[in-house]
Formats: sequence, C-alpha cells, structure tokens
Amino acid sequence: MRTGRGDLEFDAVLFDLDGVVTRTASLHAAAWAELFDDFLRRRAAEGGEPFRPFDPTADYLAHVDGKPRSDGVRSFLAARGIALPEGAPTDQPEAATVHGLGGRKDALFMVRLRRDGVEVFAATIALIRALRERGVKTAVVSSSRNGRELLRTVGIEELFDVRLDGLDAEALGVKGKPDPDPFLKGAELLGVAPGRAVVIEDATAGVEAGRRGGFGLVVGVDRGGNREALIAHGADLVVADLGEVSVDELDARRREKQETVAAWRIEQEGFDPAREHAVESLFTVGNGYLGVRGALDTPLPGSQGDLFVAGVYDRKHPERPYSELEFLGGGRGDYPYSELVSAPFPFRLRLALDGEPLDLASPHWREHRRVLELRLGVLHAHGVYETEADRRTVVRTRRCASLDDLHLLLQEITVGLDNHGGTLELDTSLADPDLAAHHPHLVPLEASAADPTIDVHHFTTQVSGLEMCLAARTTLAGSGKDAVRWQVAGTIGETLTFRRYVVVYTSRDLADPRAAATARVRALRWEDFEDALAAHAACWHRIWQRADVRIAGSPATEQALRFNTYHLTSAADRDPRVSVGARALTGRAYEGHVFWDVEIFKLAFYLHTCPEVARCLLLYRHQTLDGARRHARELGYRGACYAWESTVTGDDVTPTTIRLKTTGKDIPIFTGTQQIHVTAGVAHGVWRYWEATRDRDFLRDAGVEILVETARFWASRATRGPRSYHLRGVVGPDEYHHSVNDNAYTNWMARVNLERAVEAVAWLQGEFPPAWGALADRLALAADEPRAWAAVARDLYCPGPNAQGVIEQFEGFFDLEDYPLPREERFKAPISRLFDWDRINRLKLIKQADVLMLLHLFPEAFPREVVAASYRYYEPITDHGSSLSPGIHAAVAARLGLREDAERYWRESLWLDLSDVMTNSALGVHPACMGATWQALVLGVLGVRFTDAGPVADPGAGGRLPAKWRAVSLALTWRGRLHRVEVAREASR
Amino acid sequence: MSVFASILVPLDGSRLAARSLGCATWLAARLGARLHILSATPHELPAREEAARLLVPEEHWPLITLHQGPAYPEGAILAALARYDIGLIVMSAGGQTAEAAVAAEPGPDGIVGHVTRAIIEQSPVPVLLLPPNYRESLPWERTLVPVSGEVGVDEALALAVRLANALDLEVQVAHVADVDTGDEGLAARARYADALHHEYPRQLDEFVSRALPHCSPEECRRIEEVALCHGDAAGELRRLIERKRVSILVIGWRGQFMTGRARVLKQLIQAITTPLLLVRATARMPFRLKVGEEIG
Repeated sequence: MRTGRGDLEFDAVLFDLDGVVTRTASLHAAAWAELFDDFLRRRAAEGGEPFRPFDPTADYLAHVDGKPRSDGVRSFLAARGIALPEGAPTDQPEAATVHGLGGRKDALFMVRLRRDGVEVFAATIALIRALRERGVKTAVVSSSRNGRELLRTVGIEELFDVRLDGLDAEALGVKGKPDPDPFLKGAELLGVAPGRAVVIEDATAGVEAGRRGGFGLVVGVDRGGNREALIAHGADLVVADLGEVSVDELDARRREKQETVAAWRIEQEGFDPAREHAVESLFTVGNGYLGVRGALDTPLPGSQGDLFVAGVYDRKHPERPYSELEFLGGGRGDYPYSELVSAPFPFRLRLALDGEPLDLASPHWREHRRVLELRLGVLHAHGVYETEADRRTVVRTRRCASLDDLHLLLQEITVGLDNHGGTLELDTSLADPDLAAHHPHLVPLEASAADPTIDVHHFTTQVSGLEMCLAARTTLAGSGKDAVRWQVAGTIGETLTFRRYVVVYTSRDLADPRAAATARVRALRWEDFEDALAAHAACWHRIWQRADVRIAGSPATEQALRFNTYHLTSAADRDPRVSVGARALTGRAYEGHVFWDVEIFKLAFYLHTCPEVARCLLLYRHQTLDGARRHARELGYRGACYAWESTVTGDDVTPTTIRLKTTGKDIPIFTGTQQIHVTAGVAHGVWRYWEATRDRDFLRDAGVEILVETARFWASRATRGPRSYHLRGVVGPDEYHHSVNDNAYTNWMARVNLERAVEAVAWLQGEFPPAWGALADRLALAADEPRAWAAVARDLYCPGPNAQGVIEQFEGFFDLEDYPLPREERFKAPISRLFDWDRINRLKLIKQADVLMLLHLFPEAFPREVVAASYRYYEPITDHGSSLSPGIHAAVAARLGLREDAERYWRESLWLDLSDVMTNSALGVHPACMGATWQALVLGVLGVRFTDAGPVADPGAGGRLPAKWRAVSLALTWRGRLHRVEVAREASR
Repeated sequence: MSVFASILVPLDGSRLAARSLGCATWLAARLGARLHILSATPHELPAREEAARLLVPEEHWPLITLHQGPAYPEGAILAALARYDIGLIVMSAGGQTAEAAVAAEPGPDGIVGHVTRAIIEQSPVPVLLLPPNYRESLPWERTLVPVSGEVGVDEALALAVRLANALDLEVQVAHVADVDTGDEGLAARARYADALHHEYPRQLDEFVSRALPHCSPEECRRIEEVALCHGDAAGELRRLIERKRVSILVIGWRGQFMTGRARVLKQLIQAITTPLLLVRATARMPFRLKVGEEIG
C-alpha cells in the first residue's frame, strides 16, 4: 500500500454527510414526508382542497435534499404555492410557521434515528481512510443540525479533521447550501485553497455549492435517479458509489479539470463597488482596433464602460487623469492628438421586469458572476434577481470584440423567467444622456431616423475632427424583428434571447463611417451570430496555438499567463498607424500614449508569437519618423529622436508638468526632453525583428531608414570630450534621477544603435543598391556619415564595472547619499518621491531596473560576476515604482540562479493586475508588465537563446523551475517557423 | 425618481411616537413622497379631524394617507410596508413600550421599545429612528456617514448621497478605526485608508467615490469631506456630529440588536439628539476573484 502524499496535487476532500457517508437519506425523506403529509392533510381539510402528498423521492430531491431545514420548508411550500409566516428559530414545533415546521421535522427525524439507527456506506469509509493514509485532509460538511450527533452515533468522528454541521453553520453565521459558504468555511478551517480540494455530495444543492465555491473537483453521488440533475447543477463526475473512484482517480480528475477549465477562465462573483473599476479593466474585450472595458451590461451611474478605438485621439481634456487618479498632466497646448478618446459603452442595456429594474443598484439581485473565457475571448455574465413574491429571473449575457471582423461587437442577452410570467422591458439604446460629462471629447452629430430599428450614434471629436460611428441592431429570437427598445410579455418558464450587433467605424478607416457602420450592421442576420462567434473563436484558437504557455503542475500560473496573453493579444492591431499604449485600450491612464515599453518590453512577446504584429508596431515607428525628426530638431539635433510619449504623428506629447489635484502643486517632468533612450530602444526593436524574421522587405523599406535617422541623432547628441564621446543631461530608465551624464543604459543602447546603423547601411548597399541610392538621396546622407557613426560608437563612453564588478548607473551615482529603503515603500512609492524630486535626485534610490535592463537585454555581453555584483548592488535600492521593474529583476535573478528572488519578483509581475498590486489597475491593465513577465519566464527562467537553428533553452533551466512546476512547454516563432520548447523539472542544482 | 416615494409613520398614540410626525411630514414634502400614517386610536375619527388632532399642518394634508385602527403592533407595521410600497419608516425609538423596555433592561440594550426593535431588526426598508433625546431641527443641512470598509456600509453611503442630493445637503464621511475592538480586518483597513490620506489626499475621496457606483458623479459631489478618526467610535462620531452640525446620521448595520451586538449604534441612540437613518446590509454574494491560490 502506498503511504505518504507522493505526487498528489490536491490537499483535501470535503464530504457531505447524509447520503454520502451515512445512509440517512431514507430517514430524512420519511421524516419530511410525515411532516408535510400531516400539514397538507390538515390544510386540505380546512380549505377544501384535494390532498396531494409529499413525494419522498421527487419532492425530496427537488426541494429539501441537502438544504438547511428552513430552506427546505420554504422551497417545498413555494412549489405548492403556500406562503407561511417565517416565525423565529425559537418557534415551537406545532407553530404554523417556516421555523415551526422545520423544528418539527427535526424532532421527527430524531425519533426515527434513535428508533431505527443508521448505517454508513462502506466504500465511503474506505475512501476516507485511503485519503488520510496518503496525507489528504478530510472534512465533513453537513446542513443537518444533527450532524455531530450522527457522527458520534456511528463512531466515525476521528475520520475528519474538520466537522461542520447545521448548528456550527448557524453559530458561524454561514449561509446554507447551495450557497458555497459551508464548504468554503470547511476549506478555510482545513487551511486549503478551494481549487486544491474536492467536494463529494449527493444533493443538487450541495453540488451547486461546490461548483460555486470554485472547488477543484465536485463529485456527485447518485444513489438513484438523480444523475442528470447532479450534472446540471455542476458535478464534474457522477458515481453511484464511492467504491468507483480511487484517490489517484480523484487526483487525476481534479488535475484534468483545473487544466482544462479553471486555468482557462477568470471568474469573479459577487460585487464589490470599490473594486469594480479594476475589474472593468481586467474584463476588457478588445481586438487591437478597439477595446471595451468590462463594465456591467446594465451599468451603474459610476461604471466606466469606455470604448476606445486605437488612433482616435483628441486634445487633452483638463480634468482627465494622467497616470494616477491624483495626477493631472499639463503642457500639451492645443495639440489635437494628446489624449485617447473614450466613447460610450456599446454593450449598455437597461432591463426591467414589470417596471422593476434588474441591475445591481436594485435590491433584487441575488447572484452576480462574470467569467472571462480566455480560450474564446468571450466575457460571460450571470445574474439572478428575485423581485416581489420571490419571482426569480435569471439574466445571462455574453459579449466579445470580434478578432475576425475588427469593427464588430457581439452581444447575446438571455432572460429566463424561472417561476413567473411578466413583462420584460429591454432598452438597448446607446444614447448617453450625460455625454458631455462622461465623454467630453465627443460632439454628437445629427442622427437621421431613417430606420428606427437601428440605433446609430455618430460623433466627431472636439478638436482633432475625427468621426466615429456606432450602429447597433438588436433582434429577439423568433420575432423576426429588430428594435432598440423592447417590451415583451413572457410566460412562466420562458427564456427570451436577444442578440445585438454593434459595428464601429471611424473616419480613420474610410470617408463615411456612418454609411459603413449602418450598411454593415444591416447586412447581419440573426443566424450570422453563431458563425461570427465561431470565426472569432477560430482566430483565438490560432493565437493559442502559437502563444499558449503550458505549466504542468500549476494551473494558477497557466491561468495568469493566459490572462496576460489575452490582453497582449487584445491590445495589438495589425494597423501600422497605431501602436500599443501604456494601458492598451483598457483604461484612461497615460492618455493612450505610446512609450519605450513597446520595443523593450512588449515586442519580444509579439516577435516570437505573432511576428506580423511586431512588424506593424515597428512600422508605426517608421510612419512617425517625421514626428521624431521634428522632435530632434526641437531639441537642437539632427536625425530622429523618438518622442518619450507619442500618439499618431510621432510628436512628443509628454506633459511638462504634473499637477496634483489636491494641492494644485506642479511637479516638473524631465522625461520629454531627457529620456532619449527610447530612440535607441526603437532601433533595438528593429534589429531584434530583423534577427528573428530576416524580413528583407521590412529592413529595406523601413528598418534601415529608422536606423539611419536614429544614428544621426546620436551622432549629433553625443558630446566630444578629451578622450571619449559623452551623453550628458539625460534620464535613464530610472526616472528618479534627471539631468545625469553618461547613463550606462542610454550610452550602451546608443552605441548599439550606431553600430547597427552602420551594419544596416552596408547590408542595403550590398543587397539593394538602388534602394540605398534612393534612401541616401532622400535623406541627403553624406557618404562619410556611416564612418562617423562608427567612430562615435567606438569612442562613446560606456561605464564599465568597478573593482567590485558593479556598473555605475551614471557618472557620480556611487557618490550619492545613501537611502535606507523601507520595505513598505516598495511597489507603492510615497508621493514624497515626486514632491521631493530634487532631493531624490541626490539619493541612492532608484525607481526601476536601470543597469539591470542592460544586463537583461544583452545577457552575453557581461560576465556573470558583473551581473551578480550589479544585481546585489541595485536590487536593495530599487523601490519598483514602475510595473516594469519586477519582471526584469526576476529575469536577471533567474539567470543568476537566485531562485527565491526570481520567483518572488516573477510572482509580483505575473499577478500585478489580477491582484492589483499597485492599486492602479482601475485605470487600465499593464501590458508592458505582462511582456516583462513573459520575457522573465522565457529568457530568464528558461534561459532561451536563439541560434540559427532556432530557440534553445538553457541546459540548467529544468533545475530552476519553481517548486510545483513539473514542466514548461511553449512554442516560439523564429525565422518563419514555429519551434517547440519544452523544459522538464529537474532536481535543483 | 424620488429617493423615497412613500413614507410610513406608525403612531401608537403616545407623545414620544408623535414627535416623529413633524420630521416625517417635512421629509415627505421635500421629497414629494406620500406619507402613510398608521394612527392607533381607540375611536376612529373622520380623516380631517384626525389629521388636525395629530397637528399635521393643513398645507400637507394632500400628502398624507391616514390609516386608523385600535393598535398597530409590529406585524401590522411590517405588513403595511408591502401593502403601501413603503420606502422609508420614520419612528421614535420608543413609544408606549419604551419605558417598560428601559425598566426591564437598563443600559444601551434597552434603549428602544420592543415594537421599534422588531421594526429596525426586520424592516426590509430603511428606518429613520428618532432617539430618546431627539431635538427637532429642520431643515437638515448636513448628513454624516460612518464607513468601516464593510460592504453593507456602501449601501448606507449610497443612500445618504442620494438623499443629500434630493434634499440639498452636504455629506460628511467619517472613517473611524476602533482599535479597541480587536477587529484586525477593520484596523488594517483603517491603516490603509490612513496611509492613503497622507500620501494622496484626494485619492481617499476617489476611494469613497469608487464605492458609489450606484450614484451619479453629480450625486457623489455632495461628499464634502472624508474625515479619519481613531479611537472610540461612538465618542468620535458624537464629536463630529457636534462639530460639523450634523442633522442626520446615516448608519449601515446588520440588523441585529440583541445583547452584545450593535454596541456603537446603541451608544449613539442613547447619546445623540439627531435622527439616525438605519440601513440594513443586504445579504449578498461576497466578492471573489477566482485566481491564483484559489484555483491551486
């Protein structure tokens, strides 16, 4: 016999008592029958109604099995159309109240228990003993108030680490099944996560509680005729007796379920107003062309269901936040493309039943759940409402932004009138009565009422003059009609299904977005919906084939990585006129601006999963070269200097100051003029793309020009000193230090930029002489310029390691004042960092990886001792005020074999948005952090290097995998081919 | 839409209970609500005579619907809620039964009569409770809402903001960290909120506003200030009520008034002179995001 846990991946099993452990169902059924038959008989005699007895099988299973007794009384009486006063738990058994009847049933049960005794199911006891021998914890969770007495009677108390019965639940204030609370409480008392525990139940209410609790596996025990109902309520596996399953089978089934279901979805239930805006960011649906925040289908006044369309910008609105709610960014003048425009929520609904609103502002909601189905890119919502007289209405919706047709949004609304009939009102109008306050960039254009069944909203932006049109069409199943507002009489048990198409076009797409949107939405028929969904799902399927990362042994890690892949994919279009903003199309932070993070943090993901997106991101830089040239000229230099923050033209849109809302105090921002390393970052991206794809067309038509113009900038920006060239007055990745000289990262990147430009020019001259000639003419490139770049590259000062092996971040950094960094200041830097910018400039305190960026991007360029010494030096003085920092620390630590550091930083990076570490996900998710997480895993933990033959994982990677991981498997695209990389766990070295 | 379309005032014929009529009438007039009066009287009178007897100003008669009967015990009051689609009950902490309650259970637990206690524990709609030391001061100017970070409080805050908007009041929010209760969760939240207050002063306002998705931005702007207090909750709130000249205190609670529960609420009922609007938290699904450790 096996003892010890071995490789079991679950920690506990929670058993229901009646019908699973003990054979008491028949006693309960008989007691319920005696109770209700007596009650119904008397009622029939008094009221002259025919007597219809309680059915100990059908009524028992449908209404009372597994529920607390008062819930059972309510449920059965409601089914018979009988209303009794609630009474109180202290009511005597003869009282004609819900609690009175419940107490009487209890007494009847105890009489039978003492008279007839009780048996246990032998197979269950055998399974419990086998589990405990393998080190799996066990609990019994029963709704019965006699649970403890039953266990004592049978003598099996010692088989359970935790025992919870109906009395315990009452004392703990825990609601009864089908609410998940009893099982969740049991798991909490056992000290295990629900996902790593199994629930075994014979009642539908208990099975539903297990499913709603998010348990790793829910096993239904069908003692006869209940199999379908158990499955319908959420059982993953149904057996007739627990003799049919072993410990290893439970483990395997749980593992399979977690890998195939839980790891592919982000599920949220309940509602917390304080977290709603962050949840809206997480549940954004998008396709790169547009993004729609995951607001409730029936939004509340405070919901922020913004629709963003890539490339649609307008003049900065003074009251919109910059990077944090507290900050307002100023100094962009009248530039018409300063801020990403938010448009009205395109999935907005107003639902009411007989005039009672069905939304979360009403007192009628009972359940609320949202599930982001990552595999298909679909957001589901499920709401249960109970209006007057316990009328139960279930509202389900699903929505997506099609990846197949980027202009198309799909939404389905299903309303089930569970136990009643009534008039359902559905208003699908997208009109926002307070448009000016909610979407201040938009001015409505007059809407014609040519077709009242189509909801058309046509806007223009205030200053940039861009037009946007939303056209929507809603159809009710079986009606053959379209309408914006519906009033439908539904009958008891009826399900009403509506489908809505929303089509979005802008004047960036074509001259007449209104005509295009209207025509497209008119062309869609009811039956096209499933086809459109299938086409969307097929696109996602192709993405997952190329981008999915499998982590055997850790579904939670897979889930988080898939969440990141979902957002990185949803963020990027294949339109070279746009790039991916700091919060993509998920929120208002950073005004939709494009930063250095595209090439340095996100590009690697796209490069190796979807190179055509990487190409478009770099073409955006080519399209915005003129803006970069203007920026270089404004700064007094030649060539092209990419803007620290850019939108559609490439002109710099970095605020020159940030104003704190509260105090009105302005803080100067130096990044727009000094954070010039972005220029070398773009060049670095170009070269990485070239290495990964050998895309000759791209290098000839766009890449070389970017390299040439950026090299020109560096050649003019560098200052000749006695022995070397220098770059003075810059800001490196660490933004706490401004006006510094010879920032190691900036100088190194500039040198590489210059070298790659020389190499690229030689390539173009050799491969495409006419193209070179044309480019040289167009750019008025002197023949000796490349030689001059080579000279600057050769003589550009790049700080090397000191005697301890540490590379100095910039000239004089080692001489700055020490600053003991308190632990609580990490990840959420106090505002004094900004107020005291001048003082911070003199401290040895850094915001994010700076020298470490260099060590990460060029792993072969530095000896291990230098990497280790620099990591040891800089890690303790970094406060990670940027979401970009933890991932880079994880990557470098992993390469150094510092497993604890690597795992800690990687977890911070991986769950940054899902756990809202920085408390600012309300303004959008952090796609660059997601890119950094991916790089830390692939380039750091797995140590993947790219050779001519393809990607190769570091031979020692198997020893670096975190404890629970058995293996990592992923695909990487390299030079037109998909390569599989698989690393299995090895013992630590 | 009015915050409350219908208001109910139960009167048991006592002087204490009758005090609630002035406030209820004023509120109904300001909100455009219908006022249902349950008047317990041994001899039913013509409606106009009864209204006059109750000293309802004649100008407000069009607003009221008068119901007369020999007695209105708690069951009758609760039944009236559904029958008349009532949104708010206005009642005194004690009527005829108050003295008996105080005699039977002296101290904070006996501060309300048994009918009032049954109503505040069981009413599905908010109850505006006039404390024993109630002093009428109309019109109202400012409301105070204590927040503790518990979910039920959001409902109270949302209602306070909507009411304030309808009545043109200012809203004062107070976060009181009662470190003596040993409530680690609450203390931790308080520390967090406090840190926010020092670091990002306006962010606490945003924090509160974000807890109000049920309210429009215009309504949210009614929040005048968010105060952070430390120490004895009832004492701190009393001080704030006096200092800020608060007209009405809006409190979210769980509806359990038995011995040992609602300690702060009982102390406040005993001590203050302003009305308390009691908003019961609705039992709903707690928020869960099933990621990370949750799925194993």
